Amino acid sequence: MRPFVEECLREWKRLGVADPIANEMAADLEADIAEAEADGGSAEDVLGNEAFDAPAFARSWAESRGVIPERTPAAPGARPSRIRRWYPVAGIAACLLLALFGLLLLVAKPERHVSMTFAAPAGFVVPPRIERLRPGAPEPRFRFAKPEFRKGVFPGGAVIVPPDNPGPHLDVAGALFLVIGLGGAAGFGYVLFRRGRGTPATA
Amino acid sequence: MGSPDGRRTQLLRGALDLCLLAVIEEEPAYGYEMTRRLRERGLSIVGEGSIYPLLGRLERDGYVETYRSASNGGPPRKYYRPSDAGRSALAAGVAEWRSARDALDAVLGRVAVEVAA
Repeated sequence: MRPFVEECLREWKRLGVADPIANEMAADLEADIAEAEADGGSAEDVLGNEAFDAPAFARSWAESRGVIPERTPAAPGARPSRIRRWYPVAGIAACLLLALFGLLLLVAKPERHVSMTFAAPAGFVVPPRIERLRPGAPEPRFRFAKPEFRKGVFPGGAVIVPPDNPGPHLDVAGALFLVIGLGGAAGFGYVLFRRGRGTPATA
Repeated sequence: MGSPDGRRTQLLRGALDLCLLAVIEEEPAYGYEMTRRLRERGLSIVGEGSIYPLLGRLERDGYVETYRSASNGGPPRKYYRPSDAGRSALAAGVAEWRSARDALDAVLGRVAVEVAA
C-alpha cells in the first residue's frame, strides 16, 4: 500500500471510521492511484492538489460520505465559548493537585512500625501475649524484635507490630500520581499555548 | 478581481457535480475512470481538489448508486451510476447551467465581439 493511502487509512481509523468502510475507501484509492501511474501519471492526476495533504483529504472524503460527523466551520474570528476556554486551565489545576497529592504520598510516608514494650522480671519465662490494638481491628501479625523473645525469654524488650497500611504500595501510587499529574498539566499547558497562538489544536 | 485560475476553480466547483453525473449517466464508472473521462474532454482536476469528496456527497445524498464489479484485469472496483434522484438533479442542473451560460454569453459574448473587432 502506498504511503499516502496508508496515511489516509490511519487518519480514518483515528477519526473512528468503521474498519470495513475505511478498508474499502483505501482499496479504491490504492487501485485508482495504481491505474493512474500505469497510465504514466501520478497520484496528483487522481487527487489534484489534495495529493499533498493526506489527513485533510481523508477527513474531507469521510465527512462527505457521512461516515463521520461533519465539522461545523467556525465563524471567522470566533472564539471558543467561555466554558471551553476554561477547560485547559481547569485541567492544569486538577493535574497539579494530583501531582501534589502524589508528592505528599512520597514525602510524608506514614509510620510503618509501632513499637510496644513489655516489662517482665529478668529471667522470668513466659510466652509473650499480645492483645489487639483496638476492638474490631484485624488480627495483626507479630514478629519478635530480639532473638531471645523467640526463645521465650522475656527480659523486657520490644515487639514490633506491622501496621495495617502497606507502606511500599504508597510509594508506587505516589510516584504514579506525580508522573500522571505533571504529564497531564504539561499536556493541558500545550493546548492552552496553542490556543493562545490562535492555532486550533486538533483532537 | 480574481485571478483566472481562481475563477476557473470557482466555475468548475459549481458544476463538477453535474459533470460527474453526466459522465456516469453515459456509462457507470469508478473514480479514476471518471477523472479520465473528464480529462479527455478538457476538464483536468490537477490543481483542483479530487472528485472523491464530491462522489461521497452524491452517494450520501442519494444521487448515485454504487456496486462492485471487476475492472479490466484489476481488482474489483466501486462503480457509480446515477439514481432516479440523480437523473432528475442532472436534468434540473443542466437546465440551470444553460440558462446561466446564455445570460453570461449575452453579456460577455458582446465584449468578445468588440475585442475581436
